[in-house]
Amino acid sequence: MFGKESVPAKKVSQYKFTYRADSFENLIVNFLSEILYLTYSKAKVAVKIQIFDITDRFLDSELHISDTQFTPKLDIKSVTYHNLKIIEKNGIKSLKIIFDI
Amino acid sequence: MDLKDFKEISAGRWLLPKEFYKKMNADAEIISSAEILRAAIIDGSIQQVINVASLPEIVAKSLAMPDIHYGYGFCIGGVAAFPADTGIVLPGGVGYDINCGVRLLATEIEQKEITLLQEKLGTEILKQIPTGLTKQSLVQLKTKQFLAILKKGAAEIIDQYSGDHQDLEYIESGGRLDFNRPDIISKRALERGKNQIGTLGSGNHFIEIQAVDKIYDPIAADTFGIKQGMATIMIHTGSRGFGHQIASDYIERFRKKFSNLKKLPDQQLVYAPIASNAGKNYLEALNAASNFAWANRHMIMEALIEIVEQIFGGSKKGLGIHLVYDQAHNIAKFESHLINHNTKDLLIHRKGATRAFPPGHHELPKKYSAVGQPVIIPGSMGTASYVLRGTRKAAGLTFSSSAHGAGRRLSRHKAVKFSAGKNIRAEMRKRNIHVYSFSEQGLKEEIPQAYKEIDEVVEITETAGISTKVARLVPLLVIKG
Repeated sequence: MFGKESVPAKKVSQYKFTYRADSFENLIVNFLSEILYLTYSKAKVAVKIQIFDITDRFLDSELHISDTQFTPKLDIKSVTYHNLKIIEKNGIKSLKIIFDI
Repeated sequence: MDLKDFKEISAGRWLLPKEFYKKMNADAEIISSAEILRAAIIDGSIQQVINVASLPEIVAKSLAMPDIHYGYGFCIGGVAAFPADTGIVLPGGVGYDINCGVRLLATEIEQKEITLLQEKLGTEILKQIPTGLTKQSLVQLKTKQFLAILKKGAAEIIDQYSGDHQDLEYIESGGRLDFNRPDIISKRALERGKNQIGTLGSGNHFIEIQAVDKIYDPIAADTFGIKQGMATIMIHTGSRGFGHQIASDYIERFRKKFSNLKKLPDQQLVYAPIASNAGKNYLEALNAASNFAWANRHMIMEALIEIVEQIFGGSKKGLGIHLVYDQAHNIAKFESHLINHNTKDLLIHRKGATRAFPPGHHELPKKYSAVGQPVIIPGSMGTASYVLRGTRKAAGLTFSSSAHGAGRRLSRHKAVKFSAGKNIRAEMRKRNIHVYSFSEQGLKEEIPQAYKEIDEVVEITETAGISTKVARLVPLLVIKG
């Protein structure tokens, strides 16, 4: 997401993220915004994401976050809804999302 | 849609009547050349102007300035007005970087003096002013101090750190809008913003040391204190992560209250009535972010003045350094405008557009009353910038709005691809422009070819009559985030 150069994983902790959304778009935007918040406000980077339950409007997850220093190549400032596209094929969802950089 | 759907109603003004599309509630008007208009049709930004014209309660027309380009939902260069009482407010009509804006300082330091010391000046600015992805602010603030900045804007920087209260008159809205309710700001916004006061940021933000290359309007230039051959300093930055978080927070809040998101042409155009609690809260949070941005530019200005004083061995007064003006170009503000000979209170959204008040307007600094508001239009990295002034014509045509910059032609991604293998610094240096940045990627994103020709944007602005040229500034040193 940030084009990070290296993330040596040490001192990993768990961060619970559960969200009830009004749509899948809303769910994804809020999930990615949570990762941005952890990065910019807490200086944490997610090294592993564990999904316990996910539907179109609900996510129960645990992020394994590291406070290791890392060098972002790109400053992602916000996650937008602009032209957000979700494509479902053979039961797999893929999406196109635009970040404000 | 193509060019023949538009009517050139006067030089540089293109009208698309509301009959063009059944959902339009107002006409669309683009201030542009045929070439810029054609490009805007292709890149989708005209469709965005049409989408804004389809919003409820829009007053008079959905406008776009000559630096129009594609944005999130609402085009960059877009201007839209809604009634202050019954209208709507949309965060997408302001943008994420609330009160991103530009500040111009004039000096009496000669261009040749800058040339002699430019290496030292560039290195020192890059060393002392936090740029790019840094987290380090120039000061470490406690939450109470940060809240005082959100409340008092630029004045708080002067009271607590350094500066001159007389400068406040030369900042749009005196560098402060009403904010009294910390409860409407999320903890996340406070966390993101607290350590970012006095930081330039990345993207298209910059500090530029320039030389006054040409004077077009000697009376206005003299009034603004801009002198041929002397250096000017330009600062372009905004409300950093704080403004982005406010925008994201309120887009989410508005979504939750919005009855039918699917009906919106773009979800980024989600809105709320101005009179609703959600609308009122957003507007006050926007004021807090605007105050942050004015404080941010003020703190950077004070740090820059100190660096210049040290390097050139003189005082601010002795070096003739003074603030010409500070203006927002991503903001929504209540203003009164004449509509069909009646004065109406309106909420004007300007996203990538500059306020351009005419001579005699009560909000202008007294000194500028006879000539109008300075309108600062920065060029792209390596090209000229311009100072213009507001006109009476703009009051009737564009709710006193003008262009804000060159306007992107290539996306950042395309600009990086275009500049593959190029040494941007070396190319600039050949043109006697010294570029300082920690980010090679950032430089590639901001190559001059990524932007429209600033000269063309300014010519159209003047031809349409929404501002007139005062001076042209050429870059000597560029410090990029």
